[in-house]
Amino acid sequence: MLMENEKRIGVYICHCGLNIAGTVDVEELTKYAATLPNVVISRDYRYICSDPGQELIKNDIKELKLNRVVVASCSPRMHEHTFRKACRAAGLNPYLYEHVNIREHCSWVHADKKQATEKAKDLVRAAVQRVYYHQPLEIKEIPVIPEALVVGGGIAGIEAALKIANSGRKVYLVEKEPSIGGHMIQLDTTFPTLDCSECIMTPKMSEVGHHPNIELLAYSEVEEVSGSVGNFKVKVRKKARFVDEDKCIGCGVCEQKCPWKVPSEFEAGLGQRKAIYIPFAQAIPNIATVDKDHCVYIQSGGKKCGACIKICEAGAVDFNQIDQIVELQVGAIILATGYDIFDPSQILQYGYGKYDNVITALEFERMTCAAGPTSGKIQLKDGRIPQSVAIIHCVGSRDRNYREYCSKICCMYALKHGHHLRDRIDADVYQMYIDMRCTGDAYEEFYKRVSEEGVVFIKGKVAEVTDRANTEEEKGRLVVVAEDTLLAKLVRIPVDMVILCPAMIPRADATEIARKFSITQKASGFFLERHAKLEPQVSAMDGVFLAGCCQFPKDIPDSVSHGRAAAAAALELIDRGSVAAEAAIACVDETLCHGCGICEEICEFQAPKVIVKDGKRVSTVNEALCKGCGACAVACPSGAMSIKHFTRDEISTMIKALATVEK
Amino acid sequence: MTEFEPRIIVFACNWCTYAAADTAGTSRIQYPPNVRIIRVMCSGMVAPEHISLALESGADGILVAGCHPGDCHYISGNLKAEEKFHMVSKVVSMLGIEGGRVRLKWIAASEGPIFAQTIKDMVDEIRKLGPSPFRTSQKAGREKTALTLEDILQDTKAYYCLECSKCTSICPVTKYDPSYSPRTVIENAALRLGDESTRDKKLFSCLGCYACSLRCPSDVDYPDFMRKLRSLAFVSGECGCPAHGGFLHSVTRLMARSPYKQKRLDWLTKEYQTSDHSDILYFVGCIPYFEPIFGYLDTKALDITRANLKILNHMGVQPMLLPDEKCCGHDALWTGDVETFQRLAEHNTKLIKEAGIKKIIFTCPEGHRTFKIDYPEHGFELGCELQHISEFVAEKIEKKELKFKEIKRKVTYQDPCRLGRHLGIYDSPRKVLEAIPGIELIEMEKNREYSLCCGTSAFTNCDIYSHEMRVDRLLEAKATGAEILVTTCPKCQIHFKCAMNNKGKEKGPDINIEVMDLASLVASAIDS
Ligand SMILES: Cc1cc2nc3c(=O)[nH]c(=O)nc-3n(C[C@H](O)[C@H](O)[C@H](O)COP(=O)(O)OP(=O)(O)OC[C@H]3O[C@@H](n4cnc5c(N)ncnc54)[C@H](O)[C@@H]3O)c2cc1C
Ligand code: SF4
Ligand code: SF4
Ligand code: SF4
Ligand code: SF4
Ligand code: SF4
Repeated sequence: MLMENEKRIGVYICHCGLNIAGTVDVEELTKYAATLPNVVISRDYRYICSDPGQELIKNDIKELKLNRVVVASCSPRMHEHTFRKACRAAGLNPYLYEHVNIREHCSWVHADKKQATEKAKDLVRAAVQRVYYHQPLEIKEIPVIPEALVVGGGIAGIEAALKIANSGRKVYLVEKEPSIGGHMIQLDTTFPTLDCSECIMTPKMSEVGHHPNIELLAYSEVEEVSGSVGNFKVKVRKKARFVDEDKCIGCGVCEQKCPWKVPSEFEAGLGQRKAIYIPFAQAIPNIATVDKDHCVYIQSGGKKCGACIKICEAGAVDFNQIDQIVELQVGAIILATGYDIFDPSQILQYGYGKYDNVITALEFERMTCAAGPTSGKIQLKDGRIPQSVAIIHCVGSRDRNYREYCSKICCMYALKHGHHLRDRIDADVYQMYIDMRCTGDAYEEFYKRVSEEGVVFIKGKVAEVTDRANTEEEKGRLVVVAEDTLLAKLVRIPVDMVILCPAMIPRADATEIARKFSITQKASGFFLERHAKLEPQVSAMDGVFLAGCCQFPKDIPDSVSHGRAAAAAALELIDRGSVAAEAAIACVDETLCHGCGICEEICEFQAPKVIVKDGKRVSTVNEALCKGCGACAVACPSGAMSIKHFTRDEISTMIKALATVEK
Repeated sequence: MTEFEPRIIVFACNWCTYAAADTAGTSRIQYPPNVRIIRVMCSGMVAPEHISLALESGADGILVAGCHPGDCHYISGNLKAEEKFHMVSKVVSMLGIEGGRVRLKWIAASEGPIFAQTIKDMVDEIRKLGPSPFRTSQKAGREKTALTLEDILQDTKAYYCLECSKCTSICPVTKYDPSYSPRTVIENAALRLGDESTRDKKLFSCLGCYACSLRCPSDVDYPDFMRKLRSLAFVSGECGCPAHGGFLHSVTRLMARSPYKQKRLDWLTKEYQTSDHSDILYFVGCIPYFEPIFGYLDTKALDITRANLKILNHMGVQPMLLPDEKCCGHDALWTGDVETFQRLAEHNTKLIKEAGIKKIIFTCPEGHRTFKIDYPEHGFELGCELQHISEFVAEKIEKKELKFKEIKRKVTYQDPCRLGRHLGIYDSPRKVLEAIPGIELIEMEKNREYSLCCGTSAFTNCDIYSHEMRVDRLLEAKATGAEILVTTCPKCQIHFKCAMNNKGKEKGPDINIEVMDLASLVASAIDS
């Protein structure tokens, strides 16, 4: 007969092949665990996470009437949920389970077998003692709102939105610029196939514009996010365009009449737009926007200009418009905010901003584009056609002084630019590179093709771009100074134009965005995925997914796949219909609570609230809001507040077990 | 001898630092095996008592680690952790423990190398510091007491209980919490339900206020009975529901076992005169520790010690202050931790004897009571005169050596249980108040021996009932029309201010009143 309070603990030690067993003496550890109080069975197994491994645990739960389970294996971040599920399948409450990390935190980081085994013993002992105190927790399912939010309308966001919308679910797409499209719509052609970027992008964009399941909120930004997985509340600021969206037909007459010119963002500063503008011909939505910082009417308080008001036949221009706050409720969020381009003027020796004919790759994209400011003509500032061009790779990337990582796609677009230069104007082209990285499908072949087209490759990081001529030939030109490391020879190459390949970097507001959505950034500043290999499209925050270059630089095919993967993850969540609410949350001992409200004040999620019950003030916790962070329990003076699964007994037992050095 | 291997406890938040340790693992970055990681969901989940418990348990180093500011998965948990950590650091440094043993660091999920480096650095530094002295010290509660339930019933005359229940009907705790009854506690114990009676958390609800035993027809010393029963309970691992997570008790246990020299007199500035040759000692007690711990209540606990020195200096006394005096042991004793109490008593007695002290002045009635009654009872004879500051001042007033300037305020007075019912000092504080021109003393309905306790004793079982008691007492104080509630106990002040610390939107009755220690009031009434 099982006594009512009898604790029957099963301990399972995983070899993880040799990953653990190579360093930790699993046999000894298993024997040791068997000697610990309340341990009924202690086993080791080669791969405990495998099906037979899990079966073993399930059988023991049933046959040996285990009511507590401890598994010592890899990180709980990897497999805690696996074993909790196994417990559940065998009829044991999943919170009667404790996980021990003897791989990432032990066998992989220590070489000494004896010490690693001792450490593993301590960790297992602490877990056995802690699991004793575990209580079954009720797992509540909360419904998922079957709608999604996608933030950022570049190719990744567009793909994600379309996939979700096509599956019949409603999507809100928030884009901060006047039109969706992101960087891809700025590109001329795309490597390695060289198909026209606009041609493949615009059908997608218009599909978004017309899709009955997509509500596009362009020229909008997310202000605030609250709630949690399955039930987010999002406040979106719809910025005033000063143009009535319903009336504007996108004819662009206003734009023609507006006398005020501003460098165009879309043209990467190469061309100009007006103070009222439609960023490019295929913009979605195709609506004019007034740039209030440059509009003379707004800046003069309505005293001057106003040409657009008069010219617009639809009467769409409306200077009384104000920002609107739209409140959305969604079950899942996909972040697809993309990337920024490193500002090369920081690297003074490259002369960007100083020499007219040092330009960025993005500017070059606009220059080669038939719809661009030069109508596709590759030209110098003075209109001449360049005879020779140097393309400098890794500008700000693979450089400890700026960004340490490889930006991944620059080699490829540099080849693309080399090809166009050869193909269209027959210029001499010098690729100044550190390593050529052409790892995609048909990329190496493209590299070969471009080499054969006569592009010169010089392996060496450029030290300097200068207009100081040493020879007659260099006069009036830009000189690129580098070492050709393959020949171990210093080279000075006089060229007419220099194209810089700047690193793709995290958005300037990435930190702010990360905070808003409670996600984390990596050391590089890009958003951190939950698992680098297995869950690259999932953020650390439940219900928030990542798509495209906001996670790390990618080319278009990868951005597309990533966007679709994020959509699948969001749909998985939505179609499941409900999520298990966090069960390890705060709870109040009503006999101890003073009703002081310190918990109410300290909680970031408005979960605790003091109410009057039987004439007494006591705190209550809204289980749907509590995240189980523990701040309230630490702040509560009386000891009334505690966190389930992390109670005083549970934490204290671990501390005592791990801090005490047995003599 | 093998080389000392430091033991380091890391409290790592699930989202950043725990993941950073995982990253170190996946990248196979080696670091010393001296570290044991405890996974918490958020660094803000790490309470002060967790850190002190790790120290008590013998950890040589402790690292609290979480996400960088701004990256917290719970928005600001790490900032809250930092705030608490600063408080703990102050306490740790006051205890004299090397700062390098207790650290806080932000380590992001990607910073595996930084995690490994941090551990390496910490192990190196702690190797230099040497093993924690708490590694080998006897842990509290391990020592069996010689007492049996039988002895306790005999010693405290509990056997003579008539079951008349006079105690229960007078007990202030019972009034608020009917499930608590001193009579039934005795009854259960007498019926040989020893084990069960020591396992009852309610055992720790008694305030030791002495209201019951003053009325018992059979002369049962209930508070003493209860205290001894608690010592049995303590040994079997029961300690009631400690308030503040038991941090204060833990700090006391550390202090009792600590070989370190404390740094408890940092607050002492040049404007106060003390002397190493005086035979009058001012026993400061735990006030310097209360200052950081209850900083959030704005108690300004040290104002009391400063006021006291101002008074003494004004009267020409330059007292000695012992830089390494320890807690008197009151709370330890009253929560059943006799062993800790004895260590403290032994330490203090030795220090005081060596210093040749003839007279001790207290601002804390608990210290006073403990020195006067409990030290001798446990064989620690001090052989000197003991005086509460209110007695000292009253004496000077009587001798007409002290004059006050006018303070026009209406006040009422809270008799602390330890000063009143325990030591019978009711008149001195009143005399002092009456001697200050302009002060109008209005008594509360329950005063002197009928006075109501502030509701909590020894920082334990501070429950809804004890809170209600405090609220009622404050309402009573307000009902007198007084502007200030004067007390002579620093803890009464803390508990009252705590009751008034109302942060929720749901406000109860208005109980706000200025609470002030008598010493502070007196200090403001003397011309300097
Ligand atoms: C010069 C150059 C040439 C390239 N050539 C090629 C090529 O030939 N082939 C190829 O495969 N790849 C190429 N690429 C890479 C390609 O640009 C990217 O793979 C692709 O654009 C990534 O798309 P994305 O949606 O992730 O990001 P983005 O295109 O940056 O889109 C992000 C979108 O989110 C919006 N946004 C940002 N922040 C917010 C916010 N807070 N709220 C709302 N909206 C927001 C932005 O306005 C933008 O619309 C090239 C890149 C460069 C720099
Ligand atoms: S902080 Fe603690 S005592 Fe205060 S209301 Fe919250 S649970 Fe109750
Ligand atoms: S644990 Fe406490 S502070 Fe944290 S979310 Fe829950 S109620 Fe709020
Ligand atoms: S008052 Fe005394 S005799 Fe009466 S029940 Fe209480 S302890 Fe017993
Ligand atoms: S000492 Fe005070 S609180 Fe304790 S039982 Fe007696 S009357 Fe009640
Ligand atoms: S009343 Fe005193 S013991 Fe109780 S919570 Fe407040 S300060 Fe702590």
